[in-house]
Amino acid sequence: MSAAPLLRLERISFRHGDDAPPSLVDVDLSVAPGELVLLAGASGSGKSTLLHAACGLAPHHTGGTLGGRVVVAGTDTRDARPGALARSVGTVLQDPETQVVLNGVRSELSLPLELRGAPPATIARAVEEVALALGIERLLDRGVHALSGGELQRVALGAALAAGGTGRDAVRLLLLDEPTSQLDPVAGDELLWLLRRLAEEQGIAAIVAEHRLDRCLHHVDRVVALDAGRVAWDGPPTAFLAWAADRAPDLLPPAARLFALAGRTPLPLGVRAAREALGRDPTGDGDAFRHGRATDESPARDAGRGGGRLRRRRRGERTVGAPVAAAAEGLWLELPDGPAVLRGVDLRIAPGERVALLGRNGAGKSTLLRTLAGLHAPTRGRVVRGGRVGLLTQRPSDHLLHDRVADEADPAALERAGVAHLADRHPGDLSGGERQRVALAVALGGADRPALVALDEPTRGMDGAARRRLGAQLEALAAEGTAILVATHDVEFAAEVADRALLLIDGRLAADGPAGEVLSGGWYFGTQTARVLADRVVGPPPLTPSAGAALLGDVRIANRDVRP
Amino acid sequence: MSGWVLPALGVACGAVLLGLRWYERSRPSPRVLALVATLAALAAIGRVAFAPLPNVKPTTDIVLVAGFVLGPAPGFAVGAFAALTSNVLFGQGPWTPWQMLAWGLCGLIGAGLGAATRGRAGRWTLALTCAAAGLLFGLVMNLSTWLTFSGEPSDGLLLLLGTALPYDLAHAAGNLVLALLFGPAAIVALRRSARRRDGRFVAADAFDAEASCAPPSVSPAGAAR
Amino acid sequence: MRTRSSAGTRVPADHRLPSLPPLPAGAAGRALAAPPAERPSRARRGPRPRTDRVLDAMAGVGHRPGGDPLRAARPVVATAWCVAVAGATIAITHPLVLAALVLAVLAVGARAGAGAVQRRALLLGLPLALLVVLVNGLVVRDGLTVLARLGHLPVLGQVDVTLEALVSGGTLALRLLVLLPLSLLFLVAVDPDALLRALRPRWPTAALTAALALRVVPVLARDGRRMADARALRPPGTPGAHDDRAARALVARAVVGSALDRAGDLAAAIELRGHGLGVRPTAPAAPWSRHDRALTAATALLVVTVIAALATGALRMTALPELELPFGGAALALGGLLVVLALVPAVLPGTGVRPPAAGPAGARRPLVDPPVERPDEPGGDR
Repeated sequence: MSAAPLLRLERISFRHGDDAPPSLVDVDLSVAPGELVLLAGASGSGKSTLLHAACGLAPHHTGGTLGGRVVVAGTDTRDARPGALARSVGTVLQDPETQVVLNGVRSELSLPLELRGAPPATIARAVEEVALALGIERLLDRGVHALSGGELQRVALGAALAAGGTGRDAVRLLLLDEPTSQLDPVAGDELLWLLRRLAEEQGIAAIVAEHRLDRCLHHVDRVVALDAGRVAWDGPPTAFLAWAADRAPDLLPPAARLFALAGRTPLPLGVRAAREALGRDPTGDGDAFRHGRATDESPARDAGRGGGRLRRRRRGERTVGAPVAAAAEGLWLELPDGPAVLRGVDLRIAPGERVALLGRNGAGKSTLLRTLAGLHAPTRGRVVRGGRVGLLTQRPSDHLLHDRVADEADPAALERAGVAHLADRHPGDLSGGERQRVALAVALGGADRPALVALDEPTRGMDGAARRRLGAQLEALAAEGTAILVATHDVEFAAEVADRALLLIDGRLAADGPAGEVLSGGWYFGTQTARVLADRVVGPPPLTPSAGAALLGDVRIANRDVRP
Repeated sequence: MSGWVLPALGVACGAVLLGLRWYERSRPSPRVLALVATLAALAAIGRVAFAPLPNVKPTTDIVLVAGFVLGPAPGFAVGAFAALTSNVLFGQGPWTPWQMLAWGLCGLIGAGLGAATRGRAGRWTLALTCAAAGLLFGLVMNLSTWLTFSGEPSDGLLLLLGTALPYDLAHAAGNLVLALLFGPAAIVALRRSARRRDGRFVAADAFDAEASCAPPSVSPAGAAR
Repeated sequence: MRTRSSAGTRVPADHRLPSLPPLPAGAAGRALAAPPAERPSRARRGPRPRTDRVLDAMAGVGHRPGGDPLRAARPVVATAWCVAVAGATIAITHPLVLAALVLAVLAVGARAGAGAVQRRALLLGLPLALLVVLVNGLVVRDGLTVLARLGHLPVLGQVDVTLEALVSGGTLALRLLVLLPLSLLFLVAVDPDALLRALRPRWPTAALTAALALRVVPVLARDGRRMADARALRPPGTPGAHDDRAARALVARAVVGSALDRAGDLAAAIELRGHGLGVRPTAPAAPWSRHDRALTAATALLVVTVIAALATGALRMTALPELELPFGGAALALGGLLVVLALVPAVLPGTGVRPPAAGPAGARRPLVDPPVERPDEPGGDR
């Protein structure tokens, strides 16, 4: 294999319109065959633009001005349109729903080679091999509309891979824009393992733009961090952590943040590294935790709450006319001609309570929220509301109907959601986080304050800063007495925001208790901090890096978490 | 009697194929192709969503506006594919080619209006054209109904047209109202989406120079394309 | 929007003509858009936005896989057979042959698992067919065998109901009753995606556009449904909260806006797939199966038979002024052949793949069930 890089960006700058500020500035980057590169950075730092430039979409498709030179697989992007480049560069953009253009999986996978006039035998083989490599061979004869998000994502990836066939001209570089933001943790993990395998076995390099680094950091060879369109960091993951601890603490995944807050080095890439480091570390002597401060030092909200018995006791108390924000009693919901989605959910949420709702895709989380908000009438059982229930669905832009932000909600609500300064903007021009807060303002508007605000996957596609702001917002709301219910895959966010957590499995509540308890045990529904510290404390481990760091010892870095 | 049906259907099919060939030859860019497909899907959904109102549907308006903005060949294609797509829900049959033709013609009318007014049709001009296009659609469909389902080519046609008139008028009135409400805004939005985006490549140094000194909308020297 | 979406009898009425039958599309649409099987329980399940109908319809009647001969044949061949039968229906006026064709199409439908939807369509089509007979009886004047003299009626003038008029109306009604179930058979048995794929080598742009439009319909309908939901959840007293025309117009505008946004993303996806490279797309190569051969032969023979029938006039009924039904040897032979050919997909051996359960939409998973948390556009880094 020659050492020639697969992708070379030479002093790339990009500007959308003539008067727009540049979204990329003097970016130099090269990617070698088989390399797995993580592209990190806040929203608007230029991650998507960089991927667009690498596959030729910018400026061929997006318009705008590209300065510098992009050479990918030996071709200068100014000499070839994205369609021609796609033979060696596979690109999957953000929303899988618009990344798949046909109705059948098999036809989707064969489309790129068909449009390139490849012989039928080549197409058949490529489709077969790509499907096997991605584990979607059983989907080949299915229709696209019945696929889950993860499956759709894989089909889009498969079509991007198939464009070059599976012979010598196969696709050698993959560009993925936030591939896991649409997926639940399991599907997201699987996708990254898949990329790892493609890199190891086929030598396919990949650039993955992501917000949530905790899932990818231990898979990748290299991290490139962008800041305001410039490359702020380019190097191996461990060194990246050391850099980020000083320069971009928002980018640190929870395990590394735990160590950084506790003043320990080196920062761990993931749970395993963190546990190993703690086990080895003479100063972090495990026994000290085990028998020492653990129980006193664990955060107050974790302390003093019992186990599963608590839940029953609490429910008993509340049925005697305690105030309720929203409640479900024996909630059972069947779809027309479909299966039962909710099977006897009992739930009471008190005013001011902050509740996280976790569960796999398809467990019925969204349905539960929609039923509480009154969008579905239950088949059996009933819903009691202590007032209005505001619901923020998964796409914040669904809530924005007007041309000006100021028309969406009254000024007081905009103020409360922290978006008063955006009043004169067009909702379409806002960033994802801003749109989310405007949608929140819509839900908060009106004469009566909502008794419950329910949010469906609010942190999807959000960077660290936006998540923190949202967390603070929700906390303020709860302090005013509005109950919060967040359905999310983002366990870390749940741990930061919620004081109570529910686990929904197959339409039933499998766990309902203090967040400290529900989110500390388990593999998928536990936070990184909890998993790092699980066997080092007595009782439930702390959930958030800051709480964990308090346990680990001296807090050296200013506390950047929402909740201490 | 029935001797007329098949030849007429053949002519309709031929006209539709001709129109689609034209679209094919016009080599639409991916952006235009995606817009044609999306607008056809919107028009098809509109046909279903408005089904409870007798014969009021936004389909004709959408097709006409598409023709107005995108031009004749894509306009025809939007109309034809709107019929084809919505009939996946309503049922394909001998009526499909007629609907494809009729809505395709609406797209052409839109393109004609765009050409005649150089893209500056007023709100009322547009709305009245939409209403007229609705009447034309009704006429074509009545003709096809008459050809397929009437016994004798005698006074049946006049009777048919007479009895269909209220429905065609409802269609035209619906078109008029919808076009008055949404037409101009839809044209603006569609224009924004359909705008060609021509990228430029410049040398790295030229980019900086441009950034530092160029006021907006002055095209820099050193553009490589 | 929510309160208006009742489950009652919706009347698409694309072409509601009192004197002549509405286009069958209307009736088929009604059959598809509101599967009666869903109705009883709807009310209990609460309001459903109107866009759901698109999805319900697609879920209920779209193409399903199966092993019957029509599906085993390649889509182009199956389509050609459907077109030929439709052509024969339009070309031929012999009522007995048409009646036999109704049964043949129903038999093929039963084999293809379309029995339930076909029956439903027939149930809705029957009144229309009766209407055609009735209207023809009142309107057509040239018959000789008078059955009833109704005297002078307001608009119609002197009305005599004649046997000839009723029979000619009956023929037209039969035409409708063949085309309706045939239309549904086509929807259920022929995969539009595969059909368009076969057309792609000759019509790369048009076939891709049509396929993309089909792909986008459920996506946009889902978008519209979510937006309508979000609007319904607006707090009372805030802009857009009251369910009136203005609010619905807002939602419609937002749906159009989001559709145009999606078009931009789709354009990028198409560009990346390689559209517009100037290469002639590959034709899907599959060897001709026995089903392909058999159905193609049947289709070709069908066309020849229809041409022969048209040329000889052997299957032409003359209703007016006096009823004249051909019953000669030629009529018998050609009519019989026609019906047999129309029955070919019902009697050929299949592929052994079990056909899908022939129930109403119930056998299939609905397209949009809220519990499957579909991925949605992230707010992210744009």
